[in-house]
Amino acid sequence: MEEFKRIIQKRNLILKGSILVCIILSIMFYVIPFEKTYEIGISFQLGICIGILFLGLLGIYKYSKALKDEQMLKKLYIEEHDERKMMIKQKVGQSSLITIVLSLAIITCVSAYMNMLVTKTLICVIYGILFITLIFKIYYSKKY
Amino acid sequence: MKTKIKELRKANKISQDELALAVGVTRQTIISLEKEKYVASLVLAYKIAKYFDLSIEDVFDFSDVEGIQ
Repeated sequence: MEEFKRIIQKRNLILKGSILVCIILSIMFYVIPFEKTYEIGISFQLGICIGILFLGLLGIYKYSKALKDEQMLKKLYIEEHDERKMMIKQKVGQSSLITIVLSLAIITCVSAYMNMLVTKTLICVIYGILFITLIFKIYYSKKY
Repeated sequence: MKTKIKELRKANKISQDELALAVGVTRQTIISLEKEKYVASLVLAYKIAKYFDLSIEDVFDFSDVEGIQ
């Protein structure tokens, strides 16, 4: 439990750092005058920063509460290490990966008749996903 | 896999929450075990059996498991 407490303290620190970075970036996006062509990209990044900010604050609240109360810390530990939840996460990951790759492949086939740039982008995405999956498969095969 | 967790819990007047906390899982896991929707790992099965002071075979029914005679 002491080890888990240290992990939660580290996470709290990382979240606080991330929130600080997001606040700085958000201020920069407002203050620095960017060209109109970059507007969509900047708006997207600003949205991500705000999302991270809210999620980070929720996380800090949850972890700070757990660090003050042993029972809450134990409950948090159980929730994170529950074997059934871990199994569900694994199954979700496996099923989602296969579904996403197959869906992208079908969409790629359809887009080939409409826009070559979109088709090439989708092909790169599919190869990227498969390559990352292969790397993780090799890593976990060696680990276990 | 069939289990006697529900019967043992009721016989000992223990709630699902208490059992879950004692063996280090969530209440949903205990519910799934009792409904025979989830098969416990070896470690969890041992923890549950030890909690009731019984052997694993007394808590979990292996008669339907393939390859076991």
